[in-house]
Amino acid sequence: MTIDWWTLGLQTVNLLVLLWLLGRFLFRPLAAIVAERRAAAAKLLDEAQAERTAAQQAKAQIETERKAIADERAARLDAVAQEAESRRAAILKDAQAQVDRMREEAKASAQQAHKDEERRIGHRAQMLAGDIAARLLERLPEMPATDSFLPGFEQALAGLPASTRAALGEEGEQPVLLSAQPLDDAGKAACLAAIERATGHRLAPDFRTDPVLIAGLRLETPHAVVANSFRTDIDRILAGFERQDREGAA
Amino acid sequence: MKSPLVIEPLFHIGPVPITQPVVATWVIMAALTLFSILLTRRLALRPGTVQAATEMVTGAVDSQITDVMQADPAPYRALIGTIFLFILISNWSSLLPGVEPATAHIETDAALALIVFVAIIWYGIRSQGLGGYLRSFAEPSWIMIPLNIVEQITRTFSLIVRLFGNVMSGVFVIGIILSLAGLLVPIPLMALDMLTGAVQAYIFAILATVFIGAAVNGEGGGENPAGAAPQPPTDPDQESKA
Repeated sequence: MTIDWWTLGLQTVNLLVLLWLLGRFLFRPLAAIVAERRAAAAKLLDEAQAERTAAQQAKAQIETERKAIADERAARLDAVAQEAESRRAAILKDAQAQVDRMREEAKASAQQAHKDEERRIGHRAQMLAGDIAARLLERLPEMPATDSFLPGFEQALAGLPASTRAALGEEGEQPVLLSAQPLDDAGKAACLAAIERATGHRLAPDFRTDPVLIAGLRLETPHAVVANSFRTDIDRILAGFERQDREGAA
Repeated sequence: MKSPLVIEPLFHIGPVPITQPVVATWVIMAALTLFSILLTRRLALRPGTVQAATEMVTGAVDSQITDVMQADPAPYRALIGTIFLFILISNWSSLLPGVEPATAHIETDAALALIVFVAIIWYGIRSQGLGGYLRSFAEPSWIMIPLNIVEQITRTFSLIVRLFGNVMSGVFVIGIILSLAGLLVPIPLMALDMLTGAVQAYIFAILATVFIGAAVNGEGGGENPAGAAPQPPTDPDQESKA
């Protein structure tokens, strides 16, 4: 076996040239593109990491805002609940006041109605008492008006003002003299004499009968009424009672 | 009968005889260079099929260098990658009719081993300095200096003989089978020859890496220690002939 040294030398040179060629045209560009790809991948990873970090921060911010919204909502609900509670209390207070006022008004109204009823009953009792007294007096024997009532009638007539007394029976109007029982001529004369004494002039009254008077006399003119009778007394007593009731009610 | 171990020149360039292995090497050089230029002219971040396959091969070379030397593969990528690709393509070129692989001739294998031998010294001196590299031959004792020098030479010869023997034997076997059994019978042996060619390319490249790594790491002419780098196949010849 022999070695061709020319071939050995040529192959050595060939392999060195091939080493340079592949290093220049294959391995170096491949290594560069691999490094570039790694750099791009690293950049993408960095960007992805940055975006992930940003997303996490945004998520945390959203969580914070959501919590703030929830807190605000809870605070507003509390405020609304407190306001509703205060309004409810105010409404209840107003309603209670209104109920109290209505109760007081109803109470006052009831008291007033009670007083009115008492007054009405009292008035009715008074009227009933008057009627009872009148009926009881009707059972008494007829009393001559001139005997018991004429002096008082004359005195009442004299108590009128002078101008009123002077105007009685003038201007052509005829006075009316009422009596519970018909007067006889002596009685009429006594009445006319008493009127003349009290007024200073003579009248010509129209004598009429009114049982309502029970007993006594009543002179009616357009300007004055003068009476002295049981009915007048009873009416005066009832009027006194009513005045007392009004004063008591006031 | 002419010995198959003797190569006849195809032609002469002046006084220089040009033999068949030289021409085959030129063809392989042209093909690899043209392929490299065409490939790297359109490199993209999103690789195509060819670019991805080439990057995978380059990545495998880088991975092996990193695993063996525990260092950045960039300074050694071109040397180891070129050795691997050249031996692989040269071995597989025997599949082409009438083509005899350049690695089936001892001159080509010797040239490869010579380059590895020089690279070991170059990287060792560049890594440790001349004194450091020479002192590494006295490890673990000065008594080992002759043995380390002899080992430095013999392992280079082992690279030559291993590659030459495997490829040449494959070519011989296929030639003999072809002369005896006709067309289809050698096909399994050719497939086996492809496997053998790939394994031999890997073994040669990985042993070169181991030797350079040992020199760079200051282990002189000794084999790589356990733990510093993975052990190469202890008997590549048996493995490749299995």
